[in-house]
Order: sequence, then C-alpha cells, then structure tokens
Amino acid sequence: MRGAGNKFLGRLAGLVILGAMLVSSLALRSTGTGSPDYTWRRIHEGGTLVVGVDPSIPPFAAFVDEGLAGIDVEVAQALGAEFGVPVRFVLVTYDGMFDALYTGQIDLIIAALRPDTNRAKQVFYTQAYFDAGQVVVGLNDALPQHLDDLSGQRVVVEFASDGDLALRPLAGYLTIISALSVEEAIQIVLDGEVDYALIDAISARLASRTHPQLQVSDTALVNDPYVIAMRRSDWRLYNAIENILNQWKTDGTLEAIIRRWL
Amino acid sequence: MFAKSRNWAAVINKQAALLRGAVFLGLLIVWAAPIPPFREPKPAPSPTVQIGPPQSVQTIDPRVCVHTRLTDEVESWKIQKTLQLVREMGASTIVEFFPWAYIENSQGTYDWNHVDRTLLHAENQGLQVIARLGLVPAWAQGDAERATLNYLPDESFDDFARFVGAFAARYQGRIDHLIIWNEPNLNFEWGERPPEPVAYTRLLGLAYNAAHEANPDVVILGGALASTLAAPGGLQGGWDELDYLQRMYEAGAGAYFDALAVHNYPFTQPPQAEPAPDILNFRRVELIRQIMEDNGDSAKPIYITETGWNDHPRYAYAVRPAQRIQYTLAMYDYSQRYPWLEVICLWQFRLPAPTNSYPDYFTLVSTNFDLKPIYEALQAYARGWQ
Repeated sequence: MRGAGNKFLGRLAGLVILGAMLVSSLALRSTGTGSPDYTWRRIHEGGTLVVGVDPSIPPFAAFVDEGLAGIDVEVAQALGAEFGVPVRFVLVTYDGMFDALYTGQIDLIIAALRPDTNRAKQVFYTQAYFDAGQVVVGLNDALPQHLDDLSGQRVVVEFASDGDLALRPLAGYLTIISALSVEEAIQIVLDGEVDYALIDAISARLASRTHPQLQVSDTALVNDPYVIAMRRSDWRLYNAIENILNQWKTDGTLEAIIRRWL
Repeated sequence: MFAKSRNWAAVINKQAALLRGAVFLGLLIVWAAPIPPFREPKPAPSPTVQIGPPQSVQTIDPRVCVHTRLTDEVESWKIQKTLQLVREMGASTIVEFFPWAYIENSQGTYDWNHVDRTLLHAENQGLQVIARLGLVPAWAQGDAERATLNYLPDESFDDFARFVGAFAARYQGRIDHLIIWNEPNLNFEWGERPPEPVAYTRLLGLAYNAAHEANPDVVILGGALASTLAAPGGLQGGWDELDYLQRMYEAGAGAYFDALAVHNYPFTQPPQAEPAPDILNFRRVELIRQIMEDNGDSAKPIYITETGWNDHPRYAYAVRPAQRIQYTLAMYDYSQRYPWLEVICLWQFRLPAPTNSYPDYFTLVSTNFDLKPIYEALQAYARGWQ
C-alpha cells in the first residue's frame, strides 16, 4: 500500500513537472523570447526607469510652468512608484524615439503612441492605457456604441478629421454635417441641430467639462489606442506593466490620472 | 484461464507504458522544439503593371509640386499608382530621394534599377523629377565609431561628387535638377555633429563641378536648409538657416549652385503672417531671398522643395484639417507675388507604410491610396475646377 502511494506520488510529481515544462514553454512562446531581461534586472537592482516622452503632444506631455507634465508623465511616474525606482525622462520625437529605444537610451516609450505592427519584431506594445479614438457626443443618455447604430441619424463631424473620414463610406446611411472645427461641431449638438457629433475622445472629454449636459459614449466607435512600447527582449518588464495596467484599470488609478487632465 | 488473463494484463500494462512513454516523448519534443520564427502573412499577389500611353499634366499652376516617398516602395504598381495620382491632382513636378547608399552600395558599382523604374513611371505620367541625393554608403563613412548614414568624412567628399557626376550623366535630359544633400544645417543630417557651412560649401562645389562636367544643362539646387531657430554653431541640434546661408555665401557657395532649395515649415502660422528672423513661417522665404539679393544672387530662382502644414489632432505644431486646406491654398495664391519662386513642393504625398504618428498627417493620400480632402481641394485648385 505504501509502495503504491509512493508510485502514485512519483507519477503525480512527474506530471506536474511535465505540465510546468509545457506551461513555461507556452509562456515563453507567447512573449516571443526566453532570453534574460537585463532591463528588468537593472531596474530592480536600484536602477532608474528611463522613459521617452514627446513634449509636442499635449495633454500627454508638454512643458508647463512647473516643468514637464501630462498624462504620459504621470503614467510613467506611477509606474516608477510601482517598481520603487525613480523615473528619468528623455525627450523624444517621433523621428528618433524608436532608435532611442533600440539603442538602450530609454527603457520605455510613453508618448501618445499608437501600436505599429511593422515594428512587432522589435517591440512589445502593451494594452491601451487610453483610447483617443472617435466617440459619440450627444444630449441623451442612450448613445450609440457602434458605427452601425448611427444609421438614419444626423451626425456632425469636424471637416476632414478622422471622424469625417470614418463616416464618409457610410454616407448613404446617415446624414453627415461638416463643421469647420470641433468647437463648432459641439455647438451644433448643443443647439439641437443634429443627433450626435463624432469627434475624438480628447476633444469630447474636454467639451463635456465645459458643457456638463453633454454625454460621451463609453467606448470609441473608431479606436485609436495609445500604448507603451519597450524592447522585445524586455519581456519581464512587459509582463509586469501589463499586470499593473490591468490592476490600474480595475482600481481606478488610470482613470484618475486621465481625469486630472481630461 | 486465470493465467491467460494475467498474460493479457501484462500485455495491456506494457502497451500502457509504451503509450505513457510516447506521450512523455511528445511533450518533451513540444517543450524542446525551437520557437518558430515570426512569419509575415503571405502578401496578396501584386496587380500586373503595364505602361500605358504617355500622359501629360493638366494644371493651371505649374508651381504645384509634391515630395513623394518612393524610396522604400517595392511594388511597381504602387509607384505607378502614386505617380498617377500626382498627375491627376495637377502637380507637374515631384521631388524624390535617391539614396547614394542604395545605388552605390559597393564602391564603383552602381545599381540604377530603382531610379530607372521610378523615372519610367514618372515620365509616363508626364512628371518632371527633382532628385534629392544623399545618404552615405558604409564604405564611404570612414571611422566606424562615429559613422551614421549621414556622416560623410572630408576624405569621402570626392566619392560623393563622383556619384553625383555619374547620376547627372546617366539621367541627362531626363533628370536635370539635383538637390545636393538634405538639411546640412541640422546636426542629425550632418552626421550627428555640428553643421559646418564651409565644409558643406566645399562638398557643394565638388558636386557642382562633377555634375556640370557630366551634364552642362544640369540645375544644381544648393542648400535644402532646414527651417530652424537654433543658434549658430550646432549646440542646439541645428544652425539657423538664415545665418548658415550667409556663411555659405562667405565661403564662396554662390558659385556652386544654380538655384536655392528651401525647406519651409509654417507650423501653426497662416501663409500671410509677417516674417521675422525669430519666427518660422511661410514668408520666411522672403528673408532668405533678401540674403540672396544681398549677396548678388538675385538672378537665381528659389525652389521650395519641402513645405506644408500638419493636421494631427494633438500635435502641438499642427493646425485643424480645415485650416490646413485653407492655408495651403492661400499659400499658392499669396506666393504668386514671388517671381523668383519656381516650385512649391508639399511634404509629403503618401507614405509606403503608416507611421501611426503625426507624420501621417502631412500626407495628401493615405498609404491605402484613399484621397484626403486636402488632395481633392488641391486638385480642384490646380486643375482649375473651382
């Protein structure tokens, strides 16, 4: 009986080891690498989190009287606090930000950055920390959640904006009114001349601060995700930031940062 | 009977053991197998490209020009489609970058295929081509420690000039406008080192002589200086182009270009905004013109080879999409008063792949060939439809 128990435990242990090997293999495949993450090690050995931000994209990063400030700056600082390390900012623009990342001058790009599949071999992109896409703004509570829901409606857009370009293929199914600016589009909604406006999420949030009667759809009808980028070798850092973003979305940390600016 | 069944049990146990072994082996193989390489999705077959009958540009303003981005375009049909749309918009000229590093990757061996192909399609559409030449091949970069793709050591100036001469000779009568280098007043474009107007003048002189020897009709466009307020010297990443141009003249550059190429980015300013040395706007070109006249160079024209507004929704240096259209059309109208202005080339017609950032909002046509409203507005202007 005792021998049979040992045999059973031995087989169980073998299966557990096999399972662990399989799971670790799949996990490594999902991150695309099994190489050491030297950035993660450096950060956790008392290092600094070095973040590239683009100060030409307010309110995500810009110079104000107090210095560098914005949503991206606060997200970076909050990540540094989670890791227990200070954050050093490096100013980057689009032209040089990926070179700065590839050559190790920065650990992360947090710069109102959209994911680019052409760089997927070199870069990990996190989930979106903000969606700057096109949202519906209106005066009633029940707002459309999909482009199809706009069928038969009168919708104002800013002329030649991303919202305008998104609706043009649907022109036969709804009435599109063009405004020369976002402000004009909002005013047309407030005046009750149309059912909705389709404008970018940032403009919508700012407008709803000025005009509390405006309702803004919870989700973007056309997505424009802003993500964090890092080298593909930094898979531990990637996993850690993904976990943090998940936690922040649950406990409201992320929304609190965004609300301070939008 | 009992003994027989025990034999069966042994056989079954043996088979079970073999099965467990096979499963273990399978799992081991799965675990140990190398990670499969990332595979690009198989591209759809390219449409067949046929050269149609020769076309000509219909335009009421021959100054309308665009800077195309065909350098990294690998599919012929996309080159053809791009240039067809340029012609249909009513632009009669393109500026295109032909990197030295791509053409003379090995010293003395030229691969002209990409230039030939681009020119074949441009000529078929009736377009004039202005070639921008630069980008240093590895063999000409010299000291590898300092090398960048824009780093040209003094000892390689002659190599670049030889390339310019070879280009001018091969395309004589087909590409007669050559821009020598790009924005040499920026540290980045001068090989991550402080700009040197005297050194650039020497490079320009060597290229000018080589090109004119090969093609007496060539028009050498000097400068292509970046619009910048950076203090002279390069400590702020660049060198104010007004000061840089004056120093070029002092170094004798006036003898080495037939026309001046100008880059002009008005950012958020309307085209009519008053010029001043400390402001970047469209009419800054008047200040540049004044320097030319002060240096006795008023007989030469100016080619604006890069300009345009950006309409990214959040970029601090962008305008709203409607403003971009309004300003662009107003720029072509306002600049009618500049008799010395040969072309105004908009940066940039289309990108081979989206950047997913603000550079996408300089384009007139999307990567997928969707026409933006600014394309339609420019077309209506250039074709005289409005």
